[in-house]
Amino acid sequence: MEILNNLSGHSGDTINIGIVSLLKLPLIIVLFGNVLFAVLLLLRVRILSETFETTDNKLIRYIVHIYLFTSVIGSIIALLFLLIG
Amino acid sequence: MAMKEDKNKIPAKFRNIKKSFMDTISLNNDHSFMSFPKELNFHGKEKGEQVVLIIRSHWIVTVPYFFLAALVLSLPFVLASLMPTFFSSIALLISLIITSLLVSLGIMVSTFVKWFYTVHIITDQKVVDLDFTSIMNHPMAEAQLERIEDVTHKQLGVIGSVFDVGTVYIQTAGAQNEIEFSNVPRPRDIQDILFDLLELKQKGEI
Repeated sequence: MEILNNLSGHSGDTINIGIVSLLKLPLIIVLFGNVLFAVLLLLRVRILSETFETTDNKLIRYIVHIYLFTSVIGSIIALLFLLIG
Repeated sequence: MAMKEDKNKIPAKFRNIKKSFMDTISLNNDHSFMSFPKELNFHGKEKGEQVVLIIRSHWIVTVPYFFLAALVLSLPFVLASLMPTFFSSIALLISLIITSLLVSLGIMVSTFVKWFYTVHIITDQKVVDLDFTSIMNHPMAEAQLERIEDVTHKQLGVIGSVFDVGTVYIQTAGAQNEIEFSNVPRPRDIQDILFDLLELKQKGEI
């Protein structure tokens, strides 16, 4: 009977760990995807600013650089929280 | 004073032109409808070519994306209230909040960049359509004014009637036979401008 109780307790823990891990994995993928998106957006803006040249291009490049920087720093912080969580 | 500024903005080439579009083109200019812009260059612009009009999508078209960003931002709080057992760990919740913040920031920045670089240019020689359809491609189409066969426009439903938004279709003779200015402000004015420019081009006045 004791063996059976222990078994049931163990199986519950395994399920809990599984759910948390399942939640962490998509978050890591989303964070990685977001950084990749920011890099691609920066590259695209570089090309487009040469195709269409205005005085506002500097502002757009500045905004995209800030977005990339925020994405990288934010992703690192979120990843650290995921690891300790 | 404002009228004087508008007159100064008009390049010498167009100052003596007596056409209906000249009365309306300089009115209510903003980043979505900008007449005779200065310090502007684009790929394929000829020497001496005068840009008449720069058109971007109306701001109302971007509103759903900003709602989407707000929805993504509120998602962790909704999930935490619906499934409190999953988010018993504060670290996990903070991580989810940061992720949603970054994703919503991404939606807002990409919407703005997409709006800025989806640009339609009307010059005294041609019509250029630069589209930012996705992060992977940006098709660019252009047609000489002489090759334009017909210009039509369509209002964008109820929102189009309220905010004067619509799509302008430019029928051209060539392999790519239609250029589309999607969800642009003042579509009737754009149609009028194009017809007047075509007439001026045919007469050799520009």
